[in-house]
Amino acid sequence: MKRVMAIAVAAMALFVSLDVGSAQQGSRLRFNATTGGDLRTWDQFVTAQERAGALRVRQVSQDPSLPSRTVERMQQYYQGVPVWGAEVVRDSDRGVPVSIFGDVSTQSDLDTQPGITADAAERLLLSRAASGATLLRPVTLVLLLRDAGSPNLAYTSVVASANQVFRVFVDARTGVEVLRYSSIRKQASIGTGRGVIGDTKKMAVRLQGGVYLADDLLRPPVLTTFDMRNNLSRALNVLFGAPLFVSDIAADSDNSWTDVSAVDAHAYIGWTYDYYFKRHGRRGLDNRDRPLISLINAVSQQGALSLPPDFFDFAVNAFWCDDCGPGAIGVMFFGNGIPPAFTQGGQNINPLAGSLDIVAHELTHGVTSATSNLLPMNEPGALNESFSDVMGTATEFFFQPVGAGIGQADYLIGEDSFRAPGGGLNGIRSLVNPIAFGDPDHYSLRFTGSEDDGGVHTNSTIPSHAYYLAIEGGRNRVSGMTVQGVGAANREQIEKAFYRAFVFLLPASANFSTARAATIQAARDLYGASSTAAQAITQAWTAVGVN
Amino acid sequence: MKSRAVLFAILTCAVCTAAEAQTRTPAPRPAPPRRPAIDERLFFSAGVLFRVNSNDFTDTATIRRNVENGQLETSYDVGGGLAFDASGSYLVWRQLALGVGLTVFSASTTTTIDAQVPHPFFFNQPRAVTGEFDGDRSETAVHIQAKWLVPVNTNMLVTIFGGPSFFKVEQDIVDDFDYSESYPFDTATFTRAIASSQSESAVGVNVGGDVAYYFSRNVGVGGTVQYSSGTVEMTVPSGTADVKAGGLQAGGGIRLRF
Repeated sequence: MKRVMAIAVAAMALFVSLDVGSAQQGSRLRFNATTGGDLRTWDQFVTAQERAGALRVRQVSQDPSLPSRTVERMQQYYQGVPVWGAEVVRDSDRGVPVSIFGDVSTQSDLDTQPGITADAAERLLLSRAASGATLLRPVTLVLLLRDAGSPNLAYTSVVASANQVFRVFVDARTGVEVLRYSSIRKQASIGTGRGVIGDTKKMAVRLQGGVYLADDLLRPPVLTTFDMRNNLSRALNVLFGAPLFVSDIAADSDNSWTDVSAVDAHAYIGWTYDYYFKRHGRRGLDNRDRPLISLINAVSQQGALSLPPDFFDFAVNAFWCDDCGPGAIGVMFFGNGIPPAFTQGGQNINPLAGSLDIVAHELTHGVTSATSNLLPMNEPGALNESFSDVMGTATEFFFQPVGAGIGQADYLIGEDSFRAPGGGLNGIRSLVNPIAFGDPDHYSLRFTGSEDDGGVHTNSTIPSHAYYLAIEGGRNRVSGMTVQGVGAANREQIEKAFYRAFVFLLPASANFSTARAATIQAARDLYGASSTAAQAITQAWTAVGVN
Repeated sequence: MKSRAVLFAILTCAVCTAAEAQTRTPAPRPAPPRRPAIDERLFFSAGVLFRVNSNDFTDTATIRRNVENGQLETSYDVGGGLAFDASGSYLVWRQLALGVGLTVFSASTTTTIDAQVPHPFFFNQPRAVTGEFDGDRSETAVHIQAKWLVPVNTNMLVTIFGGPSFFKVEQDIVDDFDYSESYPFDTATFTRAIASSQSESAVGVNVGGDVAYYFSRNVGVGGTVQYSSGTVEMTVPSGTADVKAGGLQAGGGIRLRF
């Protein structure tokens, strides 16, 4: 009789599943009923299932904010066996349904006779954990609802061992494990940390096992900062694909973080994600929240002094590697610099993560990889670097007060990490005055050799200087041409035009001339053909000699 | 407090003056018309009073969210309303009666919640969260009253009274609040208040006057103006708050005498 009823109910489910607000997926039926006709249909369905014993109320609750409402949470059963994860929730106002949401199995020919006993299942569950494991819940026979295919008849319990607690399901006929998930819920937390320049900032972290981990649970993507603990070999292995573990995540015991690289890398990656989201509506690297993984502390500052020259970049540089990391997940890397008593090129080099523009620069390389994928050499490569500098600078201006001091927004790149003692030049590049660092501010001065992949970093300052001129205006030193910029108050226009051009319009092999055309077109698209932005960008490219 | 004391003094003085008038030696002139005698010993009244004033109060507390201090301001709108009032007294000497009164006041209170909730990612970028909470307020006041009865004629009786009051105040206090937020967390929306009911007691004063008209020997109607005041201390998010009870109330009801 029960079987007949179940078949009838399933048939009804199939019938009603054709209605609006439901989705039949194999033997699984999901429905969301919130409007009159739907509600009546699904209420009849739920009531029929309830009477047939296929749905049993397992919880009745009231939301204090809506005292007249009653919420019934019903568990699906099939021949007396609970269907794990199959539930219907009906919210009623004084007995009148207001909404019904459900996810149930419609399978009607399931065998609920297990092939092994519950005692055997218990032994199996324990055998899959470390010695000393215990079961925190009684072993229960369930039908495990799956995304595809029929529900599995399975035994389940919660297994605790060492510092892990898992709910585990084993097939009730074969004993094979079919599913496990952690019963420990991660807890988001906010910590504070002192960064490279001594400022205090907030960090979105995770509390697990009494330790705070640099794993941001509040922003949409995975955003995790891994501490290589001065083990360069380990860092190299990770870059080449070795797995990362929870124990690799940068950690702090009291959530008052003191590792300046961890603080700034973790916080500034989050800020950069925020900049892209708020300014451009972009969801991270690939606009689909690709994980944001960064490595820090591959080499200590002191350790940098004994590094072979080929590895010195792991101390004094930062990079994005699109194909690095476990599963080629893509990794950002930030060096720690050199001891304060030492200089290179007349500059102290502090941890590179301490510069917001450097962090945003590296993350932007990931954006470029996912979009225009500008070739990393010659003019496309210079455009690639330029776009990273442009977005790095834009991120600074988005979050930091404008000024020339430490921790302030300016048109220098890396000025918070590369500090010249005694009042020399800070940073590594300038968008205002590229020549100050020996970089070209006009196309006629471009580097044409093969070093630096065809001068990608050197020549990047030509388009970057055009970006600066389009905002702030001014006269190009070489051409003598004056640009009427949009003004600092309207910098958003130029940021958006460059973003649109570099992310959506440029082909991978674009040269400077293409970039000129694309940024002008982007400004026209956004603000009109005769807009101030379009005119400023046009003048700026002309001023730097790109036509 | 000062105004309460002054009012009490004035009414006490009025009582004294009336007493003095009763005991003054008659002047050597024609005797004034005799005031009607008070033949009854027991006096009861019951009726409804309308509270004129409001007893609003505000609390501003520092809250800790996202490793930063924010602010929670709760404003309790305890407006006027109807109160039940009853009293009984016994004539102990000439025109002096001693009695006990009871005033029960109950009303809904709207509490406005204005909070500044720190941002999870950035310092000094609080989000404004506002909401309302409908709570309850009830006051029970027991008044010990000395009453001076002044019969105007056989039907009309004026009573002046005063004395200490014992207040019990129950008030729903907002302890905290919940809000919803989602990335990028630049805004937050009030979802509910977390409140608890507190009950505190205090001693205050009451003074007032009553005019009764008896349309039979024992039964009549009357009107009362009463001022009572007390202050209880309640625990609020910032620590404690002085919550005023009572106030100026006027109304009427039935009067009995035996």
